[in-house]
Amino acid sequence: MVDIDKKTEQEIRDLIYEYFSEECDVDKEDITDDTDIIEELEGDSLMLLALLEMVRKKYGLGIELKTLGNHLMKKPADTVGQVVDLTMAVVKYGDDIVKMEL
Amino acid sequence: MAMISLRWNYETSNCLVACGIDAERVDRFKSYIAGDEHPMPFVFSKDEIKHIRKLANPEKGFCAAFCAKEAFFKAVSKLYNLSECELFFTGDDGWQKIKLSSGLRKDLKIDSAVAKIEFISYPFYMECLAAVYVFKE
Repeated sequence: MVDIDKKTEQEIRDLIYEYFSEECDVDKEDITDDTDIIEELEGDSLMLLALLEMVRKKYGLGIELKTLGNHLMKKPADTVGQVVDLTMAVVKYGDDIVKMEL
Repeated sequence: MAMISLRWNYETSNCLVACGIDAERVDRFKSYIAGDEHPMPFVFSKDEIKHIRKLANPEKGFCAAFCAKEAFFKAVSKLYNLSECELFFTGDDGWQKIKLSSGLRKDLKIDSAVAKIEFISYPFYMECLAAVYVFKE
């Protein structure tokens, strides 16, 4: 497990908000943790995969897509806030994410 | 989206067990063409990237491969690592064999899969349609 400090948590949150703002052509101020990615931002699987790839590269993670998928089956990420939480968990636990009761 | 001609005309003696479809805009894959970096190792294998970047229209190759992987997922309804399902796009519409890793075939208890790839041009963009068929012997 990797400890992440408040600064990194804020950095991850900002990264995700900026990503959705740019990709979906929506003002950052109009996005909240409750914004639904598919319904409100018209996001899709390719957009989420590209985001995860960006996070993986930025934090040097080796997590497998199948592992992430198994976690998402237990705990879906439909809103921006849920994606923020998922990303924090991915950075923190890596492949052990499936074993965690988050 | 116009579903116009994903007709069944593939000859095989194997048993069809599942099928799935997907569609994406080709221009979404333009950013993957340039650079030395391996784009989305989550999704594409190194061999796929190498092959696709040599095509006359690499964005079509990336798009076709991505659609095939998503359509395969819809067909088998099970999570898998997308890079274990490879499509070496030939550059033309039509039937293409999908290369599945032996682990994936064993895991899913299947033998093979093929994709029917078609591109549709609209006034301002192009879309790729993929239909994937999964077989058992």
